[in-house]
Amino acid sequence: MSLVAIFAAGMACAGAVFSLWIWRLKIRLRGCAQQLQALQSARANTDECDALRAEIDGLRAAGQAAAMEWRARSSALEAQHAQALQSAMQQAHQAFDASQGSSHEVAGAIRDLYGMEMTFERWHADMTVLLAHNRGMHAKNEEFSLIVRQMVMVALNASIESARAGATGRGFGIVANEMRSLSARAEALSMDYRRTLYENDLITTTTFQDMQAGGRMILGAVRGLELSHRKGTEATALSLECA
Amino acid sequence: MISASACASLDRMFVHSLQNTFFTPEGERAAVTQVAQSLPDAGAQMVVLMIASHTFRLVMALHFPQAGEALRLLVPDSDGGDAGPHAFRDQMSERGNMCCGMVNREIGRFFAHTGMSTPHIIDSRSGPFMTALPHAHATHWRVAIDARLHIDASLCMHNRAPMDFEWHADAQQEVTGELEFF
Repeated sequence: MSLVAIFAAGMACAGAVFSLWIWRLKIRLRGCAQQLQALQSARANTDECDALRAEIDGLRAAGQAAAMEWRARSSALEAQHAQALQSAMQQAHQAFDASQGSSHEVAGAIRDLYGMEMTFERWHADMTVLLAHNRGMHAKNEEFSLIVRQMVMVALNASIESARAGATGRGFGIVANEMRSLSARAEALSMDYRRTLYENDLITTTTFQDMQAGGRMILGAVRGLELSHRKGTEATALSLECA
Repeated sequence: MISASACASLDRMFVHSLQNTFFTPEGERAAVTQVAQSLPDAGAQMVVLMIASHTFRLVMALHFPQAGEALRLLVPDSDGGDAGPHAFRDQMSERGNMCCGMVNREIGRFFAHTGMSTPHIIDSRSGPFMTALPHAHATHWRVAIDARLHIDASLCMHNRAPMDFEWHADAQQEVTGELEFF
């Protein structure tokens, strides 16, 4: 083998080795470039994180300040509300005390109104007396009616007797006729009086019943008033207890 | 002052209460017919009751014949003789109360405050004077208990303010049976 060939072969080998070294060098260089890029990127992220952290710190500080401010405002409002509530409660208690006084007055007035029942009882007693009185008048009128009927009979008999007596009985006959006429008028009057008594019975009864039923209507209304009053008082007391 | 509808409603209420107060011996509701005038028998007694409000008063009268039949109707335990005038009067008053109470309950649906009187018994010869009392509406009815016995009834309304309402017995059926609290 010639020296040239050996040299050429050596040069070729050296070239190949060199190329290989260059290739490997390039690979390492690319890796270094990537590492460098990664390092640069990491640094950029770190800077961004620092900026974000700073922003977060700023926001946290602002939030804390706002929270403190709101807490302060809330405390002030609570104090105001507590004061207003206390004032309202005082007013409510005063109003309740006042209403309690009025309520006692109303309850007393209602009790007095119930006393009206005694008035109705008195009217009832009066009515009983009136009806008894009417019954007495009925009885007297019946007796009067019997007397009048008897008078009519007597007058009729007298007229007959006077007619029998003839001329001597003429004067007596005039008196007897007059008596008959008076008896007839008395009978008519008695019958009219009886009708009036029956009418009077009805008028007395309905007048009294009107008062009695009216009284019961008033008592019913008073009971309704008492119930409403009691419910109102209980509701007020309950609302104050709840407050 | 009082509308035709209110008059008709009052009559219906009265008839309804009469039919729920008086029954035939067979236990059926007695027939009630309108008559021109109450003509009670001699010796009859009438129970008078009143419903009053501040705007009206309503007089009701039931004429009970003083007969043995009436006694047997009202006091079944009696022998028809002198079966206790007190028992008879009590029964008359009770029937009057029942009848008037029903009308009072129904009229109370339209008028908030009403009051009812106690029953009073007077001679039926006072009856014809009912229409001599001030009134805007008056009707007379006959309740046939059986062929021999009837009870006359009168209704007389006097009002001081306009009245207008409509009442039908059927419309009230749905609320019957409810508990009443006093």
